[in-house]
Amino acid sequence: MATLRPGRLSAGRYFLYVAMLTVMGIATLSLVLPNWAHAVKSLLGLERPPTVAPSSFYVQRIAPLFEEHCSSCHGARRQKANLRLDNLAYIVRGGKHGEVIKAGNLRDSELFSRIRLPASNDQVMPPKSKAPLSGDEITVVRLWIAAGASGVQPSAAFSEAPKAPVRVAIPDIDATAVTHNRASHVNAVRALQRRLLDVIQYQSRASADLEVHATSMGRSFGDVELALLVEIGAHIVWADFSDTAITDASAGAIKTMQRLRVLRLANTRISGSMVPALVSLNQLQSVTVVGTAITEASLRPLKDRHVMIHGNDEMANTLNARP
Amino acid sequence: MTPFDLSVDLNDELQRRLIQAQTRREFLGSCVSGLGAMFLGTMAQRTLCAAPAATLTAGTDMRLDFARPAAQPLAMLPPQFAAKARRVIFLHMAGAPSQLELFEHKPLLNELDGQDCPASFLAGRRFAFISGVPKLLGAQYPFHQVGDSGAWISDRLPHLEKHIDDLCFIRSMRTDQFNHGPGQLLAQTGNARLGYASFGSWVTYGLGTENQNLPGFVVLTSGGKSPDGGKQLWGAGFLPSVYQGVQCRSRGEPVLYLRNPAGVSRGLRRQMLDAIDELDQKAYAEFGNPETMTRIAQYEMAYRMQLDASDALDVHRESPTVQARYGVTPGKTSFANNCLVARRLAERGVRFIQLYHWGWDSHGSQPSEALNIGFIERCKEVDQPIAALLEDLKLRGMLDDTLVVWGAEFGRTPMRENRNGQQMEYVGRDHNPGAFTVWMAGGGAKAGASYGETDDMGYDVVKNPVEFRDLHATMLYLLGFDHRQLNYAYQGLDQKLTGVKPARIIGEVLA
Amino acid sequence: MPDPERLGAVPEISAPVKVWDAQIRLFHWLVVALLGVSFFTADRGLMKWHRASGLGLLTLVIFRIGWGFLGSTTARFSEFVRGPRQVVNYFIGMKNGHGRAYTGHNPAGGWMVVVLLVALLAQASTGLFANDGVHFEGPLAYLITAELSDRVTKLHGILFDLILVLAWVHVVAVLFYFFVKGDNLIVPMLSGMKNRANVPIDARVQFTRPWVAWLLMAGVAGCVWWIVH
Repeated sequence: MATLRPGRLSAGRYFLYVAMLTVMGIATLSLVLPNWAHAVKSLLGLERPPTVAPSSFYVQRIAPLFEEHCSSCHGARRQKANLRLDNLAYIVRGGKHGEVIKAGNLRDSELFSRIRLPASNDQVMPPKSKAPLSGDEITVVRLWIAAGASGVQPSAAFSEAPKAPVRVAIPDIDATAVTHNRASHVNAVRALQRRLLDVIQYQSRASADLEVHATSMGRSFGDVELALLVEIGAHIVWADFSDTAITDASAGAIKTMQRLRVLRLANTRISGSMVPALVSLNQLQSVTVVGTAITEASLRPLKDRHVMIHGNDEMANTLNARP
Repeated sequence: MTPFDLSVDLNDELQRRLIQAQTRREFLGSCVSGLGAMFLGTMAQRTLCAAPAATLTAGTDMRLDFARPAAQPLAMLPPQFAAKARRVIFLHMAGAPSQLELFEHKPLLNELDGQDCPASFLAGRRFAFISGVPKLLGAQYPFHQVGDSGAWISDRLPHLEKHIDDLCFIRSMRTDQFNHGPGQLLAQTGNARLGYASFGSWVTYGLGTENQNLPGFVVLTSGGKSPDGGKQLWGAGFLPSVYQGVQCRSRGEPVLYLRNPAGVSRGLRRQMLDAIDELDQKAYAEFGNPETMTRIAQYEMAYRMQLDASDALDVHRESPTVQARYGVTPGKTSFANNCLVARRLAERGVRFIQLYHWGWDSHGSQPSEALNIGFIERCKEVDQPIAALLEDLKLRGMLDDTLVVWGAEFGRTPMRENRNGQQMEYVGRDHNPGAFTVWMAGGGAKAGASYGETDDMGYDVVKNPVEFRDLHATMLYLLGFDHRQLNYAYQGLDQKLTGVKPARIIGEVLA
Repeated sequence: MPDPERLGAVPEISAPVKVWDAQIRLFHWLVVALLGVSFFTADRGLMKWHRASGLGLLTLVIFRIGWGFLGSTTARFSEFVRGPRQVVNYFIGMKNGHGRAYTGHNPAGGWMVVVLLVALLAQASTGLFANDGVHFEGPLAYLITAELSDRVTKLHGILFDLILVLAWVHVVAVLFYFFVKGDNLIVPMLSGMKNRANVPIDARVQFTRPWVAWLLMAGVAGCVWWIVH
């Protein structure tokens, strides 16, 4: 190339060569560096994201697993080694060292070999400070990659996969909603809490419903005290009056507690006259009448509604009333 | 300065001593909270009254507020979310019973009984006593399947067997501790080292107690010895000491030193306490140390307990029929008596009841520690009372919201112990932190369930391992708490029972 | 060392003139080498070596800045950093084919040096606060929050791309001089000698004594050592 002799090249021609070299350089780098390839491809609109179906094994098993174990470092917030695992498109794309999974090829799937390394290995993922994947979780990843790392293959196709662990969700507390729901009775509750120490309590910090733990007051809790609860009766869902001094005189008060699900009346001086009040409680799920004069037979209507009745007649006399 | 130096102004001297008395820690504490306290002081009345009804503090990052009036540290607080369990009865079998003689049926181990232990079992493992090549040891008692769940159980627990469908087994427990003391600490405080708050303390801190006339957290021991972990097992650690467990006795005076001394009437006692309270209040006003309020609260509780505790802890107030069902031994300390007391305490609203029964350390080094002698007795001691306890709770509907947990600090090896490499006279097994069984009943645990698996020898967990922190997280969930949010700020950390490693709530064992 | 007075007085067309001192040349090629090492070690995750090479780069760059004030004539910023008008004039002159020759950096090259030095300084300094996410943290990363360190790390990555582009521009320019203008800039950066034809007739290069360089280098290295330890 005669023109390439020093000092003989025209400026125009030189910059043409430079431009060509630059394009070639970028092309070569794109082949070597996967990130460049993706940047270039997406710039040119050549990359189409993989399809993901809601019923797929990926969505149901793989995505939550990666979310739990990987996405704190390889997710939306941080992308260590330029790798994101919070979306199938990113998973397929890989990180700065290239693809991390090869569909159907476990041996060349970097992700799989890294999660399988012994805990002592520097390269193990998740890193040593994090909880390792369990055997079952590794199996799930193995089956998925081996079957083609697809976003559509349904869970049903993975019959040999270990059962998914049960995830327990912690309910959120919506402070404004709680305040709003409690507004109607919050003052009455507060006043009664002062009057009857540690007897009335909200069912939880997220709830406006009430529980009554009268049993701790023993015989000093009687019909008079129970009558005080009428004011908040509609909010009581759980009540334990066992071993208290209440009698059939409280039937009316109990009848106001229409949302009661659990009611305990063990070892109290109630009798058959209380039964209609109990039967009137439509939401009742469990009632304890052991140690009272109420017979199981008289609670027949409750039994027919599948209410759990704790009132073994034979055992009743074996339980002592508290002095 | 000599005592004879009369030139000292006594007032100055008093001031000096007072300043000295204000320790660095309290000084710093009051400095840090000083401004906040001034602000809070103006709101104190409102905040503190509202606290028992408690909600949470505002803000994006949800933090549960456990503030209570200073004089009512045990006031009830609602759980974070609706709880399945309102109280816990923890039956700790101190010494670690053999799961292979009770709940873990391993036919292959029985076949290989007497053969040399495979080398792979020994490589890289530490044992308390096993040395050289021990022999495999098959189950010492026959197993059979019972109940709708078809769970395997040995013939040692004929009473408990009737409740098998109420139990929820975790067969894949494991721990990193292979000595009793640290193991028990890990089981009860979430940490093998001293100084951490016990489970019961956390629960009474989080929920308070229903019955202000009794401690919120009661501990009962039986079996002749206290557990190896000592009183730290029910210690409050960094939590205010009012949340620590109170050890009670089912024989004699229920709580030591509770009774008034001879010649001191209840009225005189009251006067005494009033005087002490007055001094304590002054000290509190001066130094603001919460432990002073703890002291006042404990004096007051002791005073109230004088009436109620003796009643609650007296098994003889139960009918003879009930006593017989538990197998109560009148006038003695026994696990049966403690189980009956546990039920009486549960009925009275005690939040956390911990029972330790010592004597399960079946090494085979002496008759009382032999699987073929002492172990039989231990089984008899616990079988009937546990069954009676479950039955009673069920009868009253209380099993629905009482979480009963049976377990120990670790398990035992499938190999026969060969202390110093010698065949021993009695049959025993060594400690095995690698696998053991715990069961729960009631309180929202899934009845009839079984979680986790061990290998064919019952030596290691092969499926769904469960650490104590996972068990604790699960128990706290049943009690209405996210274990990550039951916090106490101490040493710059939001301390929690489950520690810093991630713990899993075992959804599979929830009803 | 040729006597600059004599060189100025007796112009010999064919005799080479020394324009770059050893420090400049060493600096230039060491930076090239360490940039390569830094890229390779970061890519392979050899973070211990990456740290060493990064600290080396930092030392070199600070040294070069100091040398820009204390060094030989051709090393001094005052000598080659020129105003925008001069740069524009330089380009116009070059296009019209009557550009004058410069002893050291020409006005365009001078700015290239400044930009590269700033980029390298920024790159090396961000490296001090960066982390690789798992196993490695820069020597000063402990001073800032993990989140900030993550952001600095991202900047560190972007700066590297920028340096790559700058290096490419630099190479393109050097080759431009070689192929288009027939002015070989590479050999002088190796030997220190320029062809007299490409040096202004009145060129005066004052060379600073080597011990100044040693002292400066020792001072800079000491400072870097002190900062990271």
